[in-house]
Amino acid sequence: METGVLKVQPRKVGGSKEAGRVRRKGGIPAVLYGGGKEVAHVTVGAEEFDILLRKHRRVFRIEGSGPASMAFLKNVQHDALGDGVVHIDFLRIDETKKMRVNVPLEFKGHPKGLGAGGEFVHPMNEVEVECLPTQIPESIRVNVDHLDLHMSITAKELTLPAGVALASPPDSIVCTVHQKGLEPEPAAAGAEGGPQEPEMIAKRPAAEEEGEEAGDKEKK
Amino acid sequence: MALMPKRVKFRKSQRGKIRGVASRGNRVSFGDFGLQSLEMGWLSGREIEAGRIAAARAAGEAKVWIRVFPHKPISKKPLETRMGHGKGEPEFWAAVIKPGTMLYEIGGVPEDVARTAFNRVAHKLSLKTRFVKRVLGAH
Repeated sequence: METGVLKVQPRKVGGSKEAGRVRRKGGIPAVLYGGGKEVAHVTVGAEEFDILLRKHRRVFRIEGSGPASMAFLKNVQHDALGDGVVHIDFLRIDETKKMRVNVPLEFKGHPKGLGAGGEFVHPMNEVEVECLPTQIPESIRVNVDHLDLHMSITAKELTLPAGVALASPPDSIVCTVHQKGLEPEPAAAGAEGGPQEPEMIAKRPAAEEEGEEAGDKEKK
Repeated sequence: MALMPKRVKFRKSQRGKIRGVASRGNRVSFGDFGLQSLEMGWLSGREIEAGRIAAARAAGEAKVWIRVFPHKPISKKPLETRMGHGKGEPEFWAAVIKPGTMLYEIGGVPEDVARTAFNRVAHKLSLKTRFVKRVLGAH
């Protein structure tokens, strides 16, 4: 994976109001931490970061906040609709040290078992690997063409690029093809025409209800 | 067969107001692609079920997740009835939807199949929706 160069401005005032001002000016508030150094609050250009994010960059060379440092994209907070980036966390890293990172899995092919009434399920969307920051793969391809009914692929069967080691439990199931229809259908009830009444959790006894109604009438 | 709860504490509920955007249930968590609501409103159990059937027919090999459930009883007065005389009887059950709520998710199929399936689903729903993909690191 290539390294992205990101120019940042130091942010001296913290707090949500200041963060709001930064966002209105077209920036994204971010924080740079780790590496045994002090936490640095910075501002990143929204457009610049968006371009790098689209290129799937996860390791950045941060310039502008003290001496240039390498950082890993630890977390990106999106707004409620998932459109805009609200905040970014960068973790300072050492280029020469191996690190553990989650890499997305890319499933390719059409499993054989689908033709026999199977359903392709992948409990894992990402796999944890250990490698140098410069060797982080963009994604790991998993060929699922050969998967027949009741067959599965485990983490140890994944083909990893050179210099990348598996950190997830080796026996964890990455994907499988199981018989469709074994899971119960969603709790569907009620006739087609009108709604059927659901069961009441704590229905009051009829005598009590009648007593209350009589009391109300007396008041009137 | 429309969705509805099995057991409830109260037969009828007040209308309520739908404020803000969804801060929970707004990410693709189970499948690879999702159908996200862009409007607020009620989604009846019948609509949700119609959407599920449409998705299952359009992408038969896919696994479909329904992320919403109609918990809210919606009552209605009979036609040509004068006002008063108490609240009407429950007519249907609805899910309260805020903008950003993930309505359905689909997995195990390529993007073009998922898009076609969700296009069919969107036509069954009374809310504006959009197609979204899983974001790295989302849970």
